[in-house]
Amino acid sequence: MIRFLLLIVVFAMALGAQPRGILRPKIGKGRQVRPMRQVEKFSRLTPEERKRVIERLPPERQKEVERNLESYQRLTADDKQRLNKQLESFRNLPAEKQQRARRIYRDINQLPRERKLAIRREMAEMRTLGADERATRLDGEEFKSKFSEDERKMVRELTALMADGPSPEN
Amino acid sequence: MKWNPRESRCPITTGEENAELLLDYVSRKLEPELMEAFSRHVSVCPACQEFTAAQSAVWDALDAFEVEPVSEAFDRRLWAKIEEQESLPWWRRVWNWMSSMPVWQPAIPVAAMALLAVGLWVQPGGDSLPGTVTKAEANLDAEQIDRALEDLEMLRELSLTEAGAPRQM
Repeated sequence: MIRFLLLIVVFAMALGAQPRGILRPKIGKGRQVRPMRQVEKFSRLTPEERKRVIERLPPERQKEVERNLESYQRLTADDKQRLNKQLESFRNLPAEKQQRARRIYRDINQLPRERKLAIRREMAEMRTLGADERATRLDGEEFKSKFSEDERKMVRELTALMADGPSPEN
Repeated sequence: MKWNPRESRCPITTGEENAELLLDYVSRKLEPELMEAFSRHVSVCPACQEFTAAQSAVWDALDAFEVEPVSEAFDRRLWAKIEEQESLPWWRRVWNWMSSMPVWQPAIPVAAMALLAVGLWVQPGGDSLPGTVTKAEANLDAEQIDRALEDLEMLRELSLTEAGAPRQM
């Protein structure tokens, strides 16, 4: 019995003495992981664990991550699934287009609340239209009267990205 | 179900309730009338004959079992063993005592397995200790999560997707 116990203890110690990197996944630059899987795993962590994961991000990004996560967690399972497909399509866009979309989104977030809402409504409207109808709308007087030059530029660019990106049916 | 001598049905085929009847018959504990009636049934029933023969063999074996007398040297060896135990160091006596306790014996392999499990659990990164990175955390990349969540929010808010309810802005 003592020999058996010693054998087990030695075995456990040998496992414990393994270099810690062996069982760790190699998540480094250039390694593609499924973004939704990361989000899902992250959302299942405790608040303390989440804090440790994002602690090396700048403080404003940490707050943004928490805010975006709360928003994500409020979605239904169907919405999450649909959004997952949208994200995969978006990630298939060329990198520079993805970056442009993110930049515009951050610019929009700098606008006053009512202007953000106006742009969101306009984008929702654009989504219901076909390519020709979008072009007509973007050239219309109503569009010009509702938005400033900078805002119109943002909507135009996003609409162009929308045409390249995920289809409304997805 | 109680065995009915008038019906003469085989108690083996009528259910487990009659197992006691068969055992009482073999050990000759049945009332005389029932004993006689059941003997008549056994004489014509191969299944009951087989059962009673097997059971009788067990009883015979038990009857034949004789306890060996305690040898004269038993006490002497016992006291020598006790003295030997008392001369051991205290930790060895504790170990021997624990090993001799029936309640501990199943616990020892369980404790060993628990120790092994702890070793396996702790080794990837000191999981649940405060201030350390758990295995689940180690699988996650903060920048990728930040980007994915931001992309999701952007797709949802700007109707690049139709999913989700509007967020307070």
